[in-house]
Amino acid sequence: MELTAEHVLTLAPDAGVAASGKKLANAHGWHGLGQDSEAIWGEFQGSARYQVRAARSDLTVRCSCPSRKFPCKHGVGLLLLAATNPSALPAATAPEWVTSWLTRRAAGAEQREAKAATQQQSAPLDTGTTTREARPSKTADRRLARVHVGIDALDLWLDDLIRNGLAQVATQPISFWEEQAARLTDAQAPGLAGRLRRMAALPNASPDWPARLLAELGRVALLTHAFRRVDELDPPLREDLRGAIGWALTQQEVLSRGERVDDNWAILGQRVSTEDRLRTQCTWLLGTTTGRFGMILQFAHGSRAFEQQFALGTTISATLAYWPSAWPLRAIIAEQTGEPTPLRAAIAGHRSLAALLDHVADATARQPWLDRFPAVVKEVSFVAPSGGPWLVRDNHGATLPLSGDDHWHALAVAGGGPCDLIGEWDGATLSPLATLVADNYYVLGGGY
Amino acid sequence: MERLVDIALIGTGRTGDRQAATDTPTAALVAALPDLTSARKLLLAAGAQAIYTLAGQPLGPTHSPAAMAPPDRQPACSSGAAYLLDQLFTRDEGGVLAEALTRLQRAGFRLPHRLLVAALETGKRQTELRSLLAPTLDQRGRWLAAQNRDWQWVAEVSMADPGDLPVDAEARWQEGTAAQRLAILRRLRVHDPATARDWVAASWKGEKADFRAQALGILATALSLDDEPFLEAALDDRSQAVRSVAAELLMQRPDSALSTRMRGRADTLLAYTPHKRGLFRALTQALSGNAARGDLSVQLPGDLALDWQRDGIEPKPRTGLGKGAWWLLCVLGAVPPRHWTTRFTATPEELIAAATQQEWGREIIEGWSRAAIRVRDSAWAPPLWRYWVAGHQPQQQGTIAPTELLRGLIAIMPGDALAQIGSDLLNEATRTQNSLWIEVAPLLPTPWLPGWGRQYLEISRARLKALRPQQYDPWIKTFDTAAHALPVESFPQALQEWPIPMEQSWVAMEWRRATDTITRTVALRQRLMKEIPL
Repeated sequence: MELTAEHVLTLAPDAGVAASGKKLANAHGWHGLGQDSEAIWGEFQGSARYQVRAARSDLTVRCSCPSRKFPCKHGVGLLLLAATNPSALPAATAPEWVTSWLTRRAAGAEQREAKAATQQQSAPLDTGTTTREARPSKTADRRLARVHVGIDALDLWLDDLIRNGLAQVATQPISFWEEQAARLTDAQAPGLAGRLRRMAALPNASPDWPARLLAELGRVALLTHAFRRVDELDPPLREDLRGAIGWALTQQEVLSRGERVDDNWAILGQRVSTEDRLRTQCTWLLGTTTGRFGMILQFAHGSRAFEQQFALGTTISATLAYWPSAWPLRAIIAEQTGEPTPLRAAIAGHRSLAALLDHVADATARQPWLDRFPAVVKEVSFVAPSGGPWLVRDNHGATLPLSGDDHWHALAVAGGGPCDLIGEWDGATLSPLATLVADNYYVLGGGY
Repeated sequence: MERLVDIALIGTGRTGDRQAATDTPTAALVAALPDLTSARKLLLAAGAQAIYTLAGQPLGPTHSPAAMAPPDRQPACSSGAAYLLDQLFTRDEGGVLAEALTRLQRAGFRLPHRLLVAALETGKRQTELRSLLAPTLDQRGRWLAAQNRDWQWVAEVSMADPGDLPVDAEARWQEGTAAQRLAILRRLRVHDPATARDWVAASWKGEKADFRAQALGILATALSLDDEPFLEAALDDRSQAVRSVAAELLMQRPDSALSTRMRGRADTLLAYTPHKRGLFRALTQALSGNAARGDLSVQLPGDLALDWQRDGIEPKPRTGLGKGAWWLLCVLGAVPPRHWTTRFTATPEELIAAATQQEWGREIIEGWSRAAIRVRDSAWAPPLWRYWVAGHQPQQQGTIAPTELLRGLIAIMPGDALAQIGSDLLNEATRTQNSLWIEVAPLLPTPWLPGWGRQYLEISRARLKALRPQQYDPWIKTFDTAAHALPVESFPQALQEWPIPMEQSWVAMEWRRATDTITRTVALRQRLMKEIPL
């Protein structure tokens, strides 16, 4: 395994697992450690004896312990051991409990691919209409009708709000928003429902809340307005609009209909947000040849684990399938070959902050409902606050504000000198996720 | 957008048909909309404006290039060492972090940049690690710390090393915060003790009591008789804290006037009559191994004269002691014990043996112990130690001296005596369950001598073998200490398997926890030594 301990630690679901994993990597409780070209494995004697195995290709771990964390501390411990002390894992023949797991994994993957292939044949991409309309069904028609009813009601409510004045919503309870959101959920428009729920947090949250709230309400009004004329839009933008209202594509649909791109993908950075116990993990990928960005979203309830693991600061050779969109970003991994390797070479990025903003303007013009944009800007420096917010400065002297108030780690690794910033731009501030200093990758923000 | 917001806040129902326009190109879009209610027009205008703003976000003001960190002077430690240190910053295993930092410094390595924030935060919380952390930060770390108020400690600690005095030292002394002023004073005291004292004296009257006491404490470095007039004056200070610091410093100098006064007082309290040294007596003593025993007579002070109090004798006795006994203890504590061996022409052993016959023997010997520790008289340390340890009864708590007394005696103990003490305690531990080693082990200097390590582990394994369910062995308590005190020679022996019976009794669980700790910590220390070669 070529990965270092830092790479492995980015796989840990939280700081607790990372710390326990480190502890186990030093411990003496391991038995029957070994590795071959496909997997690494070992048994750990904890309160019982656990069988721990990991696939080299995607670093997926399987452990027989009852932990609901994924990977569990034993998994992280095993990978750390492999990264820091490879001689502890001699080349060996994999025991049955490893080979049978690998076989089951391979069988599962084949099944998924076969399913995608059949769908691809039955539903050729881009016939000028969306799939649902190409294969009209009673269910789809019923849903469309319900969404229209929901949108009509929403529009009336929005108009009322503006007619009576936003000043009155300052004193409204959360249920004021929640009721309307619930109606939209019932109308099968969960995308709109989510936007309304997020608005509930805005009143009184900041001095300029009326402007923020009005902007959000306006964007929702644009959505409903556009949806009444959805058939006049280009097919890809139509997909974005349907997605924003709440039609979700299944992974199978994405695999069968989405654009596929082969590349060596750099795993740039990751952000996890929690809303109502639903955790959303956003992982940004960058094609080192194509320069395309990919956004892998994964969802998990409560303390459940995310299905797929990404070691930050590595590259993987893979095929991505993109959600159809006027500005395709969201994707899933359709196929992956080989092991992750550390990201060593420089990556492509904008040469100035102005170029980043131009790029954002282009993207917004094509897909006006984008909220967050991936950003890679070369040769910037971090500037510690002197009265204002933290800043990032490009080598033309231009600056943009950073979100949050703790970027000391970035300052420590870059030393005020030039580095490449990897982050997200939300329209007002940059959130750094990682940085490359002299081609060395460092995770920023919540890294451990 | 501001106009749109104003109208939206009031409500289009109240503002009538006022134009919901903006002065941006989105105005044209709104104007082109077909017949819509004014509320709807406003919403769409706001939505278009929001997206227009998002797409056209301006750059922030230009900024001159920020200062770059100067290049580091030392190489970074290996990535393996960094990995271990990272782990220790997250969770220190019984003091291994201090050992690792010391080793890093001795080997001439710095911390890698990605550990600097963790190191600076650790120093913020754990003041006792600061002096070990500071040298491993190098230029990058100091540059970083200078930009964050939370990390001011770096500048304060770095100033304490006897390196160059900053050019603006005097300005810092005049204008800095209390901590900065003390740091610069500490450093100056090393370079130029007289000037440091003059600085303190010059600003003395205007300082707060707490600061006066701390500044005075710094004079302990390079203490000389030149400081005496100033310290003598400080004995009349308003603050009790300042007075006791001054008295303490003067007691540390046997040649001070205060020490001379104390000797005079002590001479009125103690008298000694040696036994006749006949040949027969010498013979029996040699055979029995007992020290010759003279007679020690004690005159307790009746009341506390004002000049005694001025010289630092606390009027109020410690709980459990009468006033007279307490004042006796304090006065004896301020007289270097060598004074008695000279005055009474007797050995420490003889004097201690005589004192044990006395009603106030314990107080006398405690006073001698304090004095020996204060002036670092290592000749007295072994017999004093023997006295305190002889008082120990295996099944009984509390007969042994206060911990800080034992710690102090160990600190001044000559090397061969210390080696003997360790192996005596371990020999005792092979015979008795409730050994004194359990109490003393945490006080011993680390790493332990190789002989102690070997014997300790042999005893530990023997005790594990003798494990009985439901019977707790207090020896388990020593494992946490041993884990970071065992010397490198003992590592292989410590890492051999500890065969704990698989039963689920709580005693077995305790043993498992303890042996896990020792195995994990020793393995960690072993890797540290490999990753940070000296």
